[in-house]
Amino acid sequence: MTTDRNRRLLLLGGALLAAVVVVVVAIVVSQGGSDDNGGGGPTASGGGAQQSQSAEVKKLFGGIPQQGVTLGEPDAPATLIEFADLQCPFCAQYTTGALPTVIQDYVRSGRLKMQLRLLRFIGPDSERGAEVAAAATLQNKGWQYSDLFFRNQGQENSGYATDAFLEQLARETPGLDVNQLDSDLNTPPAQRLIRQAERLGNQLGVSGTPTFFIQKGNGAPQQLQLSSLDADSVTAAIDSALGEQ
Amino acid sequence: MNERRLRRVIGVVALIGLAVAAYLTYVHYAELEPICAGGGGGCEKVQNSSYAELAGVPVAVLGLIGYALILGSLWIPGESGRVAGAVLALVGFGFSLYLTWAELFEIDAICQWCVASAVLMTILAVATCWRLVSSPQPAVS
Repeated sequence: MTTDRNRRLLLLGGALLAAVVVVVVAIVVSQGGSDDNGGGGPTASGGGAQQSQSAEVKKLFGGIPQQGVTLGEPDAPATLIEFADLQCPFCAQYTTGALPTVIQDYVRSGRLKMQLRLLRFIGPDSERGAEVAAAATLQNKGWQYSDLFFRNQGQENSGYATDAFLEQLARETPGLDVNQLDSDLNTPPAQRLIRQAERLGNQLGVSGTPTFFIQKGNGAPQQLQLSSLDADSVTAAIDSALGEQ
Repeated sequence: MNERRLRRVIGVVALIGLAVAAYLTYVHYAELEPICAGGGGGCEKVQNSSYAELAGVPVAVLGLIGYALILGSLWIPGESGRVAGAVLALVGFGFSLYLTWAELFEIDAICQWCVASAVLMTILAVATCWRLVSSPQPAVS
C-alpha cells in the first residue's frame, strides 16, 4: 500500500517536472518571438521576424474601422491628421513608438479618428512607397502597409524601395489583395489620394514631417505642438488640444 | 473525494474552460473585442498585446486545445489517462501563471476572461493531481 502511494507521488513529481519543462520552453519561445520585433532596418525579406511584424500590425489595427485614409469610428468627435513621408526617420520613430498608444487610448475608445496623409518630400523611394501605399489605401489597408514600411525603413534615398521590397511588404500586409494592389497602382483614384495629401499639406502650410493637426468636428485643423515624439508627449499634446473644446 | 466525483469536477470545469477558450478564439479571428465587464479596455489591451500569441499561435487556441485534451484524458483508461490529465493541467496552470504575471507587470491590464481561465486551470491542476495521487489501486492478480 505504502509502495503504491510512493509510486503515485513519484508519478505526480514526474508530471510536475514535465509540466515545468514544457512551460519553460513555451515561455522561452514566447519571449524569443517578441524579441524579433525590436530589430528594424530594411529586412523585408520574409522569414519569422517579418511574420511576427505582420502579426503585430494585424493586432495593432485589428477591429478598427478603416475607410480610405481614415482610421477609427467615422463619428469620432475629432480627427488627428498626420502628414508623413515614408522615408522620414522621425515618422518611423513616431509610428513604432507612440502610435500604438494613440490607437489604444484614443482611436479604440472612439475619442479620435486618424488620417494618414503621405507626402513625398525626401526622394524617389518616398514616391514609390507612397504610390503603393495609395493603392493599398484603396483597399482600406493604407495604414497597415505604411506601418510595415516604417518598420522596414532603410537608408534615405539609397534606392532600397525596390519592386521586390515593396511587393514583399504588400505580401506581409494583413488582408491586402496583392493582385488587386497591382491593378490599382497609379490608377486615377490612387493618384488622386496622393494629390489630395499634397493639396491639403500645402493648404495647411506643412513644411516637414511628421506634422500633426487636430480637427474638432468640421472646424479648422489646428497644428499639434509636440515637444517630442514619445507617447507621453504626443498624448499630452492631444489631451491639451482636445481639452480646448 | 472519490474517483467518480473527481472525474465529474474535471469534466465540468474543462467544459467551461473549453467554452471560454472557444469564445476568445472566435473574437481573435473575427477581430472583435471581447466583452469585458466594467469596461476599461483591459481585455482589448491584453488581446492586442504580444502575449496574445505564442510562436504565431493565438494563446486562445492553445487554451482550446489544452482544455479539449484534458477533457479527452478522462476517457483514457487507467493510470496513463490520469498522468496525462495531470501533466496537461499542470502545463496549463504554469502557463496561466506566466500570463497572469505578464498581465500584471508587462501589459498593465487585466482581462477577466484570462483570469477566469487561470482560475479554471488552477482548479483542474488541483483536481487532476488529486485524482492521480488518490487513484484506485490497480487490480493485481
